[in-house]
Amino acid sequence: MRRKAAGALAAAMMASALLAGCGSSVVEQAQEQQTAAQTTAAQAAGGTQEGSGQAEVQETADLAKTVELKFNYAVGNKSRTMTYNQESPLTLPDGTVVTAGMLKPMWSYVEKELNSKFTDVTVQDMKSSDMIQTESTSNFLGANIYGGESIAERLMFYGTEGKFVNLTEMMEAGYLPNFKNYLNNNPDVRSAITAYDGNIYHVPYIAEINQIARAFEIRGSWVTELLDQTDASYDTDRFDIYYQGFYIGDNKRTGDNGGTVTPKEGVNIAKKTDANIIEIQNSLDVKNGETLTGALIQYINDNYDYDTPSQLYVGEKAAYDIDELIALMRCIKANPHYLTDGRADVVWPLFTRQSSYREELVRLATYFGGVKVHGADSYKATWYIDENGKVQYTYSEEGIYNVLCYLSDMEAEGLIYSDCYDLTDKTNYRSTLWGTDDGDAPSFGFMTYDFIASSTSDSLNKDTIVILPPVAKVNGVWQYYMDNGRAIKPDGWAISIAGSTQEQIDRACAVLDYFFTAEGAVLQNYGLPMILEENEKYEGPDGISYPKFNSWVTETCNAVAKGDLSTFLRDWMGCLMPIGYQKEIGFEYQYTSERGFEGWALLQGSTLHIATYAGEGPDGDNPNYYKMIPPVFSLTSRQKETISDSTSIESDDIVEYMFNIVRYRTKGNAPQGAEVAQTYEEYAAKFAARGLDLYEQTYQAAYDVMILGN
Amino acid sequence: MQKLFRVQKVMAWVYTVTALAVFLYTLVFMTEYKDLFGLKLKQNSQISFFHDSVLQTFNRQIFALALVGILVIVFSFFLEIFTKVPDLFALVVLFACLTGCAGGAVYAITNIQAVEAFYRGLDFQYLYLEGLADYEHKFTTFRAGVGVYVLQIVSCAAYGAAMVMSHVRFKKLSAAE
Repeated sequence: MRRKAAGALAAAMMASALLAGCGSSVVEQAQEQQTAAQTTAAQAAGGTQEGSGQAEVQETADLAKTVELKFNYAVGNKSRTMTYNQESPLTLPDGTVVTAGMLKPMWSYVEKELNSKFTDVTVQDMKSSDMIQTESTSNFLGANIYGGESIAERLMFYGTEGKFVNLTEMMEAGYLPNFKNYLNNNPDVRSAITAYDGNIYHVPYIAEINQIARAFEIRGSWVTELLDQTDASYDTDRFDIYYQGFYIGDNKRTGDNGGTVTPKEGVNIAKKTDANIIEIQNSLDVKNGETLTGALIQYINDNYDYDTPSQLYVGEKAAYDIDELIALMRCIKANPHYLTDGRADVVWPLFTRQSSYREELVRLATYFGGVKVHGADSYKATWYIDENGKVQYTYSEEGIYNVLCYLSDMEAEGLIYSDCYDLTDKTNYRSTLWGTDDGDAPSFGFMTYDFIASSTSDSLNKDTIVILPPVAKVNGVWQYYMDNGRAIKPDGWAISIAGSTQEQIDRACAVLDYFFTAEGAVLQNYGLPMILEENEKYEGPDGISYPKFNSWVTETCNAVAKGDLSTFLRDWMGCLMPIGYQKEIGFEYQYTSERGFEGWALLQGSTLHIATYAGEGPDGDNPNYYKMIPPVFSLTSRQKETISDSTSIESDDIVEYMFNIVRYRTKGNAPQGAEVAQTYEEYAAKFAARGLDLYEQTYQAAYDVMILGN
Repeated sequence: MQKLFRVQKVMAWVYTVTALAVFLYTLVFMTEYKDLFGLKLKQNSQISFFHDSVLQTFNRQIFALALVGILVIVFSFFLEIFTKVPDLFALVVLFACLTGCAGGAVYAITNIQAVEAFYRGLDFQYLYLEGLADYEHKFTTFRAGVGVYVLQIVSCAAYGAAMVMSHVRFKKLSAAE
């Protein structure tokens, strides 16, 4: 019996081996399998496509049926979620009362419009990144829609891993028609949110692209008081100098090198000599508020034909360069008693809104010869595209090191608010340095680089005005330029696969698409129809008509949110949240003060250029100079591993390392343990040791994929 | 007779070593191409097809064939080929198995060449996009495979021939006695 079995087995083995040998090659077999799989997929897609025709028909019908959707939308601030978390109830114009724990009014409205039942399952104070990290462990099973701030890269990555619904396929199947239409009209957005596999998995928050983001704002009266008063009693306390100037030596500003600049079409401002104000101030025997300011006034009168010296900085004829700005800052720093009527011993010429915005300081790099620092609005956008179309990491470049050294000189002179570097300090310095003038313990700041509407708000300080940026040689051309346009944000939302039934996916698509309809866009940008004027529009300074808020908004906003409309709409109404939608500038215009409008008009009427996705600007050294980089790069898991395993460029301490230069290099007062690069070689070696080459190669590859995919 | 039986034993051991070598080969077959695992970009889809479909499929097939080769060793022990002259049944069974193994080896060689040709034709220019800069073609596994399977064919033939001769001689001697 055993022999028979062995014989049969042997025969079977021989036969199967021979059959295997006679069949097609393994390559052909694999190709046949692939073709079969593709055919099956195509048939399935065809089924969906066929079904989509029905789906669209059913889409309308489906809205008749209530579908429950769970949202996990985390922003690290319970006031900013979908849920109303204010202590006091809010009574809407129609008498509806909203109390803590309910959905905010806008979300209740959308819920009704789309006949859905929304449940906010967010841990209310949870940060977006923590939420994604936590939920990824359960395959995003706990909700249908996930969203938040600075998570676009995560949404794309998990999308490619099959965790989020492929919106490209959904759009091909007829879903999200308004979003699809928006992307067709805005290919830059499509390109920026497409993952490496060529698909879209999230809907982003798109700020008012191609608009000015931040601008330079100052206390206007301080400049005129300093420079235009004839009987000023300046301070005479000693002032120590460290900064040696940028436009010196071979780089003197004269003739072809910025001798004549054009702040506005038809307005040419000529500088008469090659004198440098920093050198003049540095050569003074006695340096104090009086002598420094006197030297500056004399310098302006000697070099420019202004009616008043302050015009060098303020108004449409402004033509100051970075040295002239620093000279002005010195005068401000040296005259605290004069400028504050004796209310302060110290004033701060330059500050950021909060310490987490400290990288705004490095944006001054643009005015030190056009050095690139951030390729987009985000501080994480530490890339620019060079003349060969290659992405270059900015923070490690010699130009940035030099700028950090200049900033260090400024820091040593006390020109930068010293608390700006401390990340543990969560104070809003803009409120402190501009908003406490009439308080018992006032603090005074002069200048910041921030958004126009909020910085020129009457409730903050009625003296703040917008000025043109310093004129500089940017991309090889003397011009007015701000390397900071409004961008596609790394925020948004996506639909979970594991957490959703097909019915929920369909409805979630309808929700995502809704904010790209005319009605949905107005709702998210401005609010419920009941808080808008029915037959009236707001005419913006750009000549465009926008929905206009009614008096209920102003009154309620003043009563509950100290007149901060942005906060009111976000925290009380549920609008303007960084979900997937296109933000409009019309809201911002309506809460901009007169001085803010003057600022907009000043900038829009000037020859100013800003960074845009299209990248248009005066011809210069680098045709890609004005181009903004995408908000995030879609990295494959292999690329992510490469970066996490072999580089450490992205760790927070690299920024700390950079700011150590600003804080300690010039004065040499670094505390024990603080590493301060004394030379660029030392600085560059730090980045090289952290795997800069590999880091750049990896991001270059991700960028190439993005380019190839388009 | 003693001499022929010694040859049969030696061939049995040679076959055993060869079959084990083939088995080991199938275990390490993918190692040289591990860099090509996990490619995600559309630009590299042919390479991932090569790795995930062609190579993996082929590896599974040759692994199954290698197990057949191992079974022959088991049969050899089971049918006492290492210690005795095979009877007709053992001879038929093992001859069939060895024919199967040799056929499998021929199949493997043919396909290694087809796989190698496909590999040679792949476009690696976008491999750098996934962190593999300066990728160079690697043919060691394919070349070694051809060698190993040629050895297997030879060893199968030699083992089978040795058993046949040993069996025939034994039968003749038995008839003469």
